[in-house]
Amino acid sequence: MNEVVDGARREVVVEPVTRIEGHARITIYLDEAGEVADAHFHVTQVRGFERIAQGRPVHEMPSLMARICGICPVSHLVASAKACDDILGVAVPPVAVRLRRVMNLAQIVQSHSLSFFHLSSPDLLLGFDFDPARRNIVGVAEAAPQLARDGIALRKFGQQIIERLGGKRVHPAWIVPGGVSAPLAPEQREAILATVPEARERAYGVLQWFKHHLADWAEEAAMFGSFPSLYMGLVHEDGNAAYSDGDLRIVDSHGTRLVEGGNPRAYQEYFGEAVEPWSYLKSAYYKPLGYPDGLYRVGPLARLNVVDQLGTEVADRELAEYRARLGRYPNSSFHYHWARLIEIVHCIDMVEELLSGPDILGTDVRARASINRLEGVGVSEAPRGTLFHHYRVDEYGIVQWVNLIIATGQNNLAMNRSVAQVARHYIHGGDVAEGALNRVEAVIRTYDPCLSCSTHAVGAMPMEVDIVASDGGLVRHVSRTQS
Amino acid sequence: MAPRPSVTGRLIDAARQSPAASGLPAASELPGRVVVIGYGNGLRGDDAVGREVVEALWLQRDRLSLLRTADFLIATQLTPEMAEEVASAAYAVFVDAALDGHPAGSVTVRFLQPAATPGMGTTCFSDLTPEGLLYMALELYGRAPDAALVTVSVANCAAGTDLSPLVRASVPIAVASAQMAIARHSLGHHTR
Repeated sequence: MNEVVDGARREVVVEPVTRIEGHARITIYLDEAGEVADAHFHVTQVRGFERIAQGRPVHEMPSLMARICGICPVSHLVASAKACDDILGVAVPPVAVRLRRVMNLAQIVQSHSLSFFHLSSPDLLLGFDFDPARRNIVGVAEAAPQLARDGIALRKFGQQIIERLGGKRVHPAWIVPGGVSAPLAPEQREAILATVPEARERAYGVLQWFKHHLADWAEEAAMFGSFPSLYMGLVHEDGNAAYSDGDLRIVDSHGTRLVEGGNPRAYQEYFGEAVEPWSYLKSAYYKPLGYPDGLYRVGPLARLNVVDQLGTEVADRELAEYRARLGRYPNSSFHYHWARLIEIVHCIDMVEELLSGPDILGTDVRARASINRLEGVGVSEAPRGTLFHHYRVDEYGIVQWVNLIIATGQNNLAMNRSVAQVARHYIHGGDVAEGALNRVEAVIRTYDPCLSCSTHAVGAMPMEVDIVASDGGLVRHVSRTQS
Repeated sequence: MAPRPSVTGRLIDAARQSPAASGLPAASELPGRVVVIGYGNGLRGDDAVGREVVEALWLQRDRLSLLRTADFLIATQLTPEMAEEVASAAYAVFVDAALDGHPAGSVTVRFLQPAATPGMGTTCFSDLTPEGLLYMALELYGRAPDAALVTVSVANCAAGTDLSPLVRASVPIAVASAQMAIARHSLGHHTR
């Protein structure tokens, strides 16, 4: 961290916003009294996959779209393949539907593990004010090696399932339009099932650790993006959580269902996208409430708010405790962490349940067809929230137009509001302690934003924080330089 | 006495496959196991030299007895997940590109000790070093092997899939340097 004093202006540079995926910057605006007036979360790079895809054959889209992200390529595979299914007009064989679900659940386990253990646990375990040089996964390894081992093991659990199903850990090409490219081999099923008990034990143990320490983070829980909003997620007809299929449900903080059984193909009726000049990240909003009042959240916190239940015994018991302690519709983004851990437990149990089904080894795993529609929409739950892929093609199946609505974009309004809330609570009179700045970063981490996905930006995430006085002068610039 | 059949000798691309899924043995199962890790971005020109060196070593595994107990891992970057594999090895060799100001193609060998660099792990692990990975292995799994880092000085890491001529020419030198490091270890001459 560097600090430069230039006359009346103080410049603090934080670069990058650390322990998130992508490139970003935060600007904090101060009023004349040096109090926080507003804050912006800027995303500063763009890759433009929506344009790159134009002119490509639609059958290439799942593999092409998976390249958007190395963390959650499976969610892009699922959403893209479903958009292609829609264009082909095929009914995907039931076995393939379940196999796609297994891979998506495995990815959620590995991605959530990366988010919680590698990126956020340093703050939770070591403290938000701990020495920033050691507030990282290495510090976690020193202070709580079992926690670090659990994180590594759970991430490996998810990655190995993806590898066993799709042939490789990153960017598998196994999910294709119409289903999957190959059935599940019996030995792979047994190999995966053999890893479930240890993963379940590790995930459950960490969940208990988190609950035990929840009171330690009471102030952050009260201040990290704690405000009413709408929540959106995919839900099965029985009210269970749906990660690869299901319909849209939108609820408010009182539980009022604004959308029930929403058809993902009609997403444009529900959602608009706004652009601000200070960020490449679009802001999705609930269209009937307009911009920016239509702020809504997606991802683990939202999913646990919209579902009636998750659908597996242990996870539902944990969900009941979560709701008993936090209320039926928790509003603090800090609780993304807890929700994420419950989802890890649920996803592990769902993997076992799906793979234990009697017909999971069936060989009818792909439907084939030519172009039957010129437009298709696919939706799935990515680790960070609901993901939409929308394509238009010509009669030859050449992609003409693409729209992607990514979870991080849907959380953009909430992330901006959260940054402002945290900054107002911890920054006063222009006095910016390192721990306060870390909390500004940490509230972003609760959402686990993936900026590579949401703007299709490359690489790890340099982030800067600017604090701007009421006259427009730069008070402080905090920067961490990417290595 | 028939030679012990090798259960190693795999070339693993970390983007495709996790070492554990390949059934690699723990150190207790195979004393003397060597792990060779070449890392860098395969789409950024000379940055891929570590990967190329390890692929070249892998191609020689059947001709050199030194490499019969070796596993070969190529990756875009070091990650915490590799700590378990490193901890289970008797010796680790890392191969990387270096923008260190030396003439392109210069090969350097350095013997490593576990060490956590301040700030390491803050940028989503693109800053994880071999020393840091050894440190994580020690902290998490109770042991870190002797290890060496072979670096090839590079000049051009712009987008591309080819090595520049000087760096390409240095690949055999880097391969020989890695072999010598493994040989020194096998003879008990490794120096930390």
